[in-house]
Amino acid sequence: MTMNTWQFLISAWTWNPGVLAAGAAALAGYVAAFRDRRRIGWLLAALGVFFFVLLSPLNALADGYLFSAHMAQHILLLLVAPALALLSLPRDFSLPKFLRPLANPCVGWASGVGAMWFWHAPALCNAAVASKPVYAVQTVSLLALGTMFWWQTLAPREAQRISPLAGVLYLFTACTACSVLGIILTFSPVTVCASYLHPTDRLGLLGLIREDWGMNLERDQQIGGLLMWVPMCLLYLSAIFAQFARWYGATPAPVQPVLKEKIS
Amino acid sequence: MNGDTITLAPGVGAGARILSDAKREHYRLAWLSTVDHKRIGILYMLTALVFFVIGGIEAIFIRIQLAVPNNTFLHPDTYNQIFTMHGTTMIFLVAMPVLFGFVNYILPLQIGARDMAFPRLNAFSFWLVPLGGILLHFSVLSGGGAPAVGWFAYAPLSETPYSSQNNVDYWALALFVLGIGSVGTAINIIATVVSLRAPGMTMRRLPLFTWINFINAFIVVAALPVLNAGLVMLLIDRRLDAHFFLPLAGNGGGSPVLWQHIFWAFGHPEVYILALPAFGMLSEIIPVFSRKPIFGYEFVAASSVAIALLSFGVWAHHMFTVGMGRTADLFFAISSMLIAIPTGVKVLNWTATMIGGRLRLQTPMLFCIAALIQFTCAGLTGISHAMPALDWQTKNSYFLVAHFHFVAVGMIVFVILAGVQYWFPKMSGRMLSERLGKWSFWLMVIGFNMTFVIQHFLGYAGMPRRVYTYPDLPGWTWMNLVSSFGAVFMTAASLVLVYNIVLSLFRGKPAGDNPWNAWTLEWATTSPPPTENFHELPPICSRRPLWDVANPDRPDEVVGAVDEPIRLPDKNKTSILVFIFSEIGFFGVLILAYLYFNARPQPGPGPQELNLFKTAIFSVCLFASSLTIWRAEVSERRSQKGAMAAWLAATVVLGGIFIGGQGMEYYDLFRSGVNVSTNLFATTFFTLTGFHGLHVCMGLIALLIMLGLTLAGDFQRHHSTALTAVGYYWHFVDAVWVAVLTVVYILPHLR
Amino acid sequence: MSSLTSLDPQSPQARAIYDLNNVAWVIFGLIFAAVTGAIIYSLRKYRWREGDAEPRQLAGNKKVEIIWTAVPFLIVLVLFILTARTMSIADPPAAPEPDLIVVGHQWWWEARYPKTGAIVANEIHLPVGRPFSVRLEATDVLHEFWVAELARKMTTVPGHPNHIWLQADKTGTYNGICSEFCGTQHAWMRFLLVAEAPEQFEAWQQTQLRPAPAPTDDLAAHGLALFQASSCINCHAINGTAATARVAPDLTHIASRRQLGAGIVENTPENLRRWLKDPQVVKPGVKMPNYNFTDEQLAQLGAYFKTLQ
Repeated sequence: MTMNTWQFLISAWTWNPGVLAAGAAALAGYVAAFRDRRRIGWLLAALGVFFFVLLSPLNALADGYLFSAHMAQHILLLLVAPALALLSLPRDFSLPKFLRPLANPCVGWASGVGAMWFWHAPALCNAAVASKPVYAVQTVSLLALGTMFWWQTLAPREAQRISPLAGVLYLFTACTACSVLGIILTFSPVTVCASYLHPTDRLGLLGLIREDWGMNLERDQQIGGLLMWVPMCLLYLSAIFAQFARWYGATPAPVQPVLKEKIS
Repeated sequence: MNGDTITLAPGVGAGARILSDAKREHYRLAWLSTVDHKRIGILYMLTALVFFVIGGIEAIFIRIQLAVPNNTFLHPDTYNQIFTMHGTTMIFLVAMPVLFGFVNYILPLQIGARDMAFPRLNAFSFWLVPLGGILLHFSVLSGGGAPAVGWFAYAPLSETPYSSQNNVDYWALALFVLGIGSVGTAINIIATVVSLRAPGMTMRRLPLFTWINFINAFIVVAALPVLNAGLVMLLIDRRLDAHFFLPLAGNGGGSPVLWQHIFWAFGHPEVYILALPAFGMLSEIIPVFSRKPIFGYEFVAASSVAIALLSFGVWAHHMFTVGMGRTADLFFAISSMLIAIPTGVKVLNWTATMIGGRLRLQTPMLFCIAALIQFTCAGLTGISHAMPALDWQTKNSYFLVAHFHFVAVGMIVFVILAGVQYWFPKMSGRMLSERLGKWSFWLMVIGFNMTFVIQHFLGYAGMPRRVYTYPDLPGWTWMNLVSSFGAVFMTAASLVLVYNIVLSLFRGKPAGDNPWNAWTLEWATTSPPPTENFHELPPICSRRPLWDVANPDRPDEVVGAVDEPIRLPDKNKTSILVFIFSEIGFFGVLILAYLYFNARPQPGPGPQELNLFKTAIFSVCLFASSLTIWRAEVSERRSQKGAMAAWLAATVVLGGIFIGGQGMEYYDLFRSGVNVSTNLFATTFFTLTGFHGLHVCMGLIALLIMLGLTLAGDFQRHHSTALTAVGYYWHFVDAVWVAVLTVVYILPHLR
Repeated sequence: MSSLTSLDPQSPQARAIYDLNNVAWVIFGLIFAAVTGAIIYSLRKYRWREGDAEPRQLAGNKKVEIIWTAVPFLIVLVLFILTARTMSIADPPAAPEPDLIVVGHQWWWEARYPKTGAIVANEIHLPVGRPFSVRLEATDVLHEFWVAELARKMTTVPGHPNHIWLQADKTGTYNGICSEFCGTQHAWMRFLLVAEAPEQFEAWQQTQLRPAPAPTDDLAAHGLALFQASSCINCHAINGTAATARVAPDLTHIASRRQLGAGIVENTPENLRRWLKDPQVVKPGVKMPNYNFTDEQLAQLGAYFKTLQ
């Protein structure tokens, strides 16, 4: 049984009811909780990413076939979806009290970077591929940890965020920490996630992947490592620019007459 | 200056003064013992000038040898030594020192500081430059001739079997020493900008030269340790018979490609380390001579940060022909091409600054305009090198030689010459001659373009770099002759410049405070500035304080609030954190090398030789010492001198136990015949744990000094951040051990 | 002899790179013209003249900045896509079995044809029009294999074999060089790449496979005896004699080659004699020592090598 790329892209969608329900619940919760819904577009974008990651052919590939697809999911769940979700919050949003201890820069940094490193320890990486419950835990934890990471720079109100220059440092160090992992994965002579070594060809994709796409094991892991390294750094870099924009744009001071008096 | 000015409170921006001026003059060692940033800056530049003469003569020899085909003027070995020394000298002993010289002189003035944050560290960093230069050139006297391996010393050519003389060792040591000096200077720059700004000089109001060099210092701090780690590994290979980078026949053996990764992970950021200060100068000089503020300050500033970050993700574009595989080639291609965008944004902003201005075409501006055009060309050929398919043809050819000389000479040297013309009046109090300046400018433009434009075509005609001679192939002969002829003009330009400097020092027109009507703070003081730099400062509410003073009717828009308070974090804490950041880079490389070589079991001894239990015991001591030093700090804050001494002593003892334990472990391994050259596991193990042990020892020395000072009663009166700094360092050493313990001892048990 | 330029491509691989180069330089040329044009325009229009007041103090324009960040981004994207396409044409994946193995040595090239067993040095022959899958190796330091008219360059790394495709569409002799600095005689680590009609190539390969004939005249026989008696055989091989070492170039068909010393001189009896008399004079630093052969011995060796067609 072989299929071509188009057949694959059309047929490999999985209508996972749990995912759809979670998405619907998030949307309903948002509508119920906030009266100010001007920023709902961001939430829809976040849900779009969420659905894309877990329902699209990307998920089929990540499910035992390609490490690189798994890495793409990882990045989208950790860095993209939570960031978009935070941007959807009304600007007067405050954290419930019991969550406030989590809104700490050290906790945020550790959760963002830790999520990357933790889930790529060979044992855990394999477990997430082999077992559905672990996979579910991984997905939820990535979303949660990603939200904690981005809260520091994307929280709705200025007072909830760290200062822009600290934000640059926060993002830069996080970028470096993830790049190091990317470098290790890219250049490692051994396979990190052994589950991808011998995929069980449930969907009959292996011929397509190995032959038509030329994705051998070595290249697969290399792409995975490079995804974590280059595009992820570009995400962080964009966020760093947002910090600079915030910094230079802050307090657009009116020209105060005091100055003129002072100089003249 | 009229109106309200800020008089400096005593102590603002004050640096340490070891001897009074009079006393130092008395000893006639004023220049040798100086810790004044201005004098150190000038010393940097003079040192660079000396080495520029040496490197320049080497360049002339190269062009003489290549002027005609099949030339026998130089022996091939001599030629190889000369181009190696030319490259190494120009990068490490000319470009970096001269740029650090400018930063040293100008940066504290631009932020209204009295000196650099750590004047003695500053002097130390400077004196490492002559030391490094002497070490490098000492290889010539050592009998084997100068190193002949190219400035990036690719392994295995740089390994003992192929370079058996000790010249490569001198080369590595020299670069190591220079690297340490550069990191010291960079830490100093960061601490100065963070902690010594004048009232009103908020971070958002920093002049671009200062801002860009502030960012650049972070690149230095991150990149140089990577080189140092590589050099250490090369030296271990060469002196201790290891083989990090030396493949062995049959099984086992190191990786020559790893050297390339390490070298370029430093080497490409290094390109920006040299380019960014030049960008900073362009961003100062072009606006002044266009009589307009820089176009898009925020974008020029932020694009510098983008360059700094991206510069660490692009190194492998130097390796498109080494066989990394298609995937890696493509990723590095896109990241390398992306870095063209922030660079292009800068070029466009400088151009836009000129449009609509009133251009004064004095010599500094002429050099800048030429640099701008030449840099555009260099940037475009740079993009072609970022495209692997094109790089596959042009790499290692004269096209590449032309490209990087367009960056290094066409941009960086031209901007340095602009900077010399621009700031010489401030440093000497006298103007350089415009007439001679223009002579040197035109000679330089003609000479430079004659030498290097044609080399692009030589590259397309297939001439490889680093050949001591060549056959008479179509086009090669006349193109090489033209190129060599251009060197005559460049030499003449340099001679005119030196003559101009010497002549103007004695006969130049007096400059006055602000000869160019510029707007940054260095022009608010006398030329040359007094030792303490400023008697008073104008109010600082914008990025151009002197514009506001000169044009009270139309001042610049205030950046932030008028009386915005500035936060000046403690310089000790800042500098130790930056230092730790650089150390992370060093250990990062060693840990990555360990992981790289031990991902698969090596033949011979492996982690199974290690005793996790014993190690766990002395590791606990080390971790416990983090608690004791924290207690010592608490006692210090509570002024409990006795308790503080006791906690410090406990820390020293615990650290000592750790070192003892490590010594025992080494002893056991040696006895069972495992040493640094046994196999790659042993090499990486001893390198990693050995350097950690060395850092523990350094920490112990610092602790003992603290203990001595405590017992001598130094900490009685006031709270000192010195102990905090030592504490940070000690915690860092512990944290590294957590990583080492995990990677070396625990990870093998998890498999 | 042809030149050595990437601007005269003679294979589909090199042509793909050349085409991309042309496209890139049109784009680069336009960018350069735009920037230089703006600078020249402002030099003409906005020069300061005595008595001019300070101009309008324009501090920037956000819209313009965004445009000139976005446009280069698009240009880069286009160039990247073109590059990726060119890379797959210019450097397709390796064939399972190489047609040719090239090994870089300090400072000469060894070429082996694994499918027939022929081993040659510094002169590589190809049948015209047929792509050869080439494996690149090195025994000592890094070298780089570059025939600009035919293919990309590629480093030869000890312990890390690399691969390229080599093809010539036109018969002729192409220059090849080492382009990675590899020590004293890096400049003279050249080779010739001869593309010939398939039947000629076959004939050449058959010649190369033949062992050296036993010398028929006395002088040459003495030459062979001297060759086998001295330490020549520690490094060189001559198929059909006792010499089998692979450290230095195979000499079985030395007389059929056009050049000596990896391109440093033409292969004439006089040059060969100079070489044997003292290789260090002809190619300083070469790994072959001076054996201080007498004139008589030189004549013997010369006579013998002449038979190695």
